[in-house]
Amino acid sequence: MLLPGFYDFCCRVRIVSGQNALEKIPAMLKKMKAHTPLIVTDKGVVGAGLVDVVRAAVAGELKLSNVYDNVPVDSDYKIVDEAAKIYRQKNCDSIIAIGGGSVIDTAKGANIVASLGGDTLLDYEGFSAVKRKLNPLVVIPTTAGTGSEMTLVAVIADPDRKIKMLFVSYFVLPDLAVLDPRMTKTLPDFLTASTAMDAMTHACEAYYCLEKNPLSDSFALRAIRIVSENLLKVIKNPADMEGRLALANASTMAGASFSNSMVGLVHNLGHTIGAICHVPHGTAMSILLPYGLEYNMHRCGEVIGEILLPLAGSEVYAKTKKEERPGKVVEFIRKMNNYLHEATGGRHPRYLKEIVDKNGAQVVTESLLPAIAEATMQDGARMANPEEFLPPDAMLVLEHAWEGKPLDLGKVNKGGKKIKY
Amino acid sequence: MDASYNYEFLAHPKIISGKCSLENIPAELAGYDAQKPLVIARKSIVQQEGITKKFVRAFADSMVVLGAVYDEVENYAGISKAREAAFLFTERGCDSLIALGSGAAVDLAKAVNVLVSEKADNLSAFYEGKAIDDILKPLLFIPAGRTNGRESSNTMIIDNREIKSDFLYPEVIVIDPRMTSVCRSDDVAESAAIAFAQSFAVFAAKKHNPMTAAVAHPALSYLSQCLEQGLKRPKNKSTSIALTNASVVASIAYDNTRPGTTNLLAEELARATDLSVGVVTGMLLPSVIELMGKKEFPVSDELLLAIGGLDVYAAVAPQDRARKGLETALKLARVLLSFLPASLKELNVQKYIFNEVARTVAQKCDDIFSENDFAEILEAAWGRRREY
Amino acid sequence: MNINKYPQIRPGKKLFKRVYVAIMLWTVGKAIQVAAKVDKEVKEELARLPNNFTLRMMVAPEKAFPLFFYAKTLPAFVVDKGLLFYGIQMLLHKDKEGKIKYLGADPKGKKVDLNIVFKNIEAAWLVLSFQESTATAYMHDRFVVEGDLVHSLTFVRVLDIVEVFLLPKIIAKLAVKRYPKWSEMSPLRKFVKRVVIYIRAYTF
Repeated sequence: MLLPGFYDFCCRVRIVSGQNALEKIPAMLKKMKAHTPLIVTDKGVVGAGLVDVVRAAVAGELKLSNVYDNVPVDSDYKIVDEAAKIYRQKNCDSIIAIGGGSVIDTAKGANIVASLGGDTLLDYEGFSAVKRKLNPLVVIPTTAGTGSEMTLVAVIADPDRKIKMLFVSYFVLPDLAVLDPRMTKTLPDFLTASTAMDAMTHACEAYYCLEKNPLSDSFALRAIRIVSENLLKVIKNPADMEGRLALANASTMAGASFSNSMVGLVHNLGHTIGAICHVPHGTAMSILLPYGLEYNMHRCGEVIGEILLPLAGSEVYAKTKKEERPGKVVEFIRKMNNYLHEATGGRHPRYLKEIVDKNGAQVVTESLLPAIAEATMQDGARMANPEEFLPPDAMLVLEHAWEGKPLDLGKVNKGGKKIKY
Repeated sequence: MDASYNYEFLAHPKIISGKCSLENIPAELAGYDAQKPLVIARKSIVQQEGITKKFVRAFADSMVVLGAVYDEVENYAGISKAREAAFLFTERGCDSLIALGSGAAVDLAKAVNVLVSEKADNLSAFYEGKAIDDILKPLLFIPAGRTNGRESSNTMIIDNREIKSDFLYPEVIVIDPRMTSVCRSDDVAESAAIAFAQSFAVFAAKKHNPMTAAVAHPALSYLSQCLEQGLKRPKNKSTSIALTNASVVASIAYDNTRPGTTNLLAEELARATDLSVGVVTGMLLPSVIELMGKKEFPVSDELLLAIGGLDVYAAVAPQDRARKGLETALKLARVLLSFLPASLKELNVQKYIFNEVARTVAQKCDDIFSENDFAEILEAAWGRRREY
Repeated sequence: MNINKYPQIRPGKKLFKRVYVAIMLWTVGKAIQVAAKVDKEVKEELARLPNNFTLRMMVAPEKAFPLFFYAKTLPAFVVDKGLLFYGIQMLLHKDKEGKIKYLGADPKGKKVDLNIVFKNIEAAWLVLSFQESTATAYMHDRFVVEGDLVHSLTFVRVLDIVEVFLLPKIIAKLAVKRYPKWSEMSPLRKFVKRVVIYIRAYTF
């Protein structure tokens, strides 16, 4: 395993995983001296009955009567302030976040305001404004994909200034992440597919991007292996609780991996397409992942080739020659996407042109591609990509990903040596 | 993969490793609103020429002032020294702690931290089971020299009594090549033996949780890549930093797994004979692995993945992986042996204590190992001959 | 116990590195100001920044060792007083018309929109002596960004282009991710701009 010249790693989140993990929450909260938690969640989670599942699991030991369920899909600082206000009104001493990325980010933000005082999150803008331990924050992810429970950043929008504020601090990290398959049981198959592929993308990108380090590598390898072993099983049999727990674990491990190793091109394009065309994050990730691997292949092919072992299993890995492995990785992920496309009845798109909205209209039209390519310069993920990624390069990748044909490797701009991590 | 998903896991410390990582300390301290650390250092480290100078130089051009460098600690951490250092801490108005070195220095730093944060005069209440329930001052740990595998964990041993609390984790571990390359060969061998045993304990069971395995993987991997080199040239920066990484990571993984056979046995034997734990661990490891191979005890196939690497792992058939994993582990453990005494006999260990030790360990250990197995391991380590 | 046995230690200063970094920052600032005037690509990149925008690049900690004596005695053309009072830094300002101007090293009374802070002098040294490329330095957390991250990306891109202009290929290759091919940047353009930027940066 390679030791980079410099790295830092931190994932100080206590993880509790298991079929009965929810039942352990009261004891854990007590250890952190918290008794009246505020639940932060969204309407969808409440509608799916997941809050009731948590309530039933902790019944008798903990009363979960304080619920804030107004978190929208794109949360902003006003929501955070509102949540913090309710936290104070109800005299809460901790937060339990139940939901996906947006809910978790909101809860992180609300925890900053509620613990440090003040009325608005805007007071804590800027790097390392948070310098002290915050109140206990428990996260129960319901999507098994975002990995936000392991990241030390809270991304919260400011609609007035039209910017996304980043709150980065080790104190923003949750204290406890609870992985329980009951939370993802009701997820429909196409969402299971796209969120699991999201986790897979996190892990793959963490493995080849510039900030890779031994621990993130090790987490990434295992996350890839778990997803590739369990995803198809769970799609076939949605009641496979062990498989769902494994996927939740993979998502968390991928989260630990990419929050310490950063992500590259795939996320760069994915964020941009998400911002311009409102494509769900997981969908964009699964479509773009093979292209990200192809684009960087000439800079770090060896490292990409290593992904083949957890992805396809040892037999395929041993049979494939070293120089053919990167190509095989890409091929395998495409095959996986194809399979998911069929298994979900076409609801898991394989190319950008296949993405449709509720009415069946195409979401990413070909005319939008230049605008997307130009906007990739505005996303932080371009820094961690091994190869330089400029608008013309983005256009090249986008055109191929839109059509659904493999990237023409001859057209990729090459001008650097192999990456030294 | 045989992973069990019912588990709890915590890896608290942040790890910073590599070129110029010492220079990051002021920024890290600023993250805790601290700028006057008390440095608690191991005497033999600070006495080496140029180490203090290099260390202080790393803080140049920052706002950090070093409250003092307290270096009265070598192998034993006791309450009187902790009190002395705590007095120094309050007298100078420090707000954080840096432990330079390893072993007792870190234990002492943890003790000082409890004394000053809890405003206690002694630790007796905590021995009796009073919980440390408040957030302590930030503690940074800079590994240098021989480790005892406890530094990065949540335990401290003061006056030979153990205290455990999640607040005792060091906040940041700074692995800098300027500090790790001060060892001698025997230091490297002992630290490596402990790291090896700790990470081996993670895989020496059929089921393990994926998180601990992920953390222990780099440890075994670095040991297999760098151990031989590191033993021959302990001052080499790139191998020493890899081996230190292995030690740190292994102890974090070990914190999250049940106690390993080798570690328990070595600790018990070291207590009975007054030998150093590292030496004993290194001598027992090959015997433990041999016995596990002979009796076909279950081992995770990821042992081979971690030690051999991806290519070796893929080349071996799935049913042979556990056996092959033990074989490679044994080979690695034998490398260590060449820098340690050949057998327990050479160290004048008396045979009559073996039964006692085996019985105590068998009571502590809920593993598949029986009392006879432990006795057999000890016998094997006693009568081993050096292979030339 | 005798606490005087364990003296308090005030770590010293790294004078050479400070001077080197200060000179490099000054050069970078001046060079960007000139490049924004003479090169189309740099101009286009900088157009992404909003108008009336101030950017600061500095080495932490601020006001570490203020040198009041020298600041009072030395005339302004010898040394920028901001350097002596506030530590090593440089400010770039984009005014209402979109013109880029190097503002020296005195942040007093200026509203800084984007603050790029090297964590320590050693980090700045590694980057500005081209031992680590900008991207690597970002990955190694050698600097942190206060303000909108998006604008820092623009700045890093500009920095990359300017480095290609200013440095010989063998050094610039260490500093950027991908050295531009002939089709992306012709050698003639590169050479002419190099001369022009150097002359104008060091003259006025």
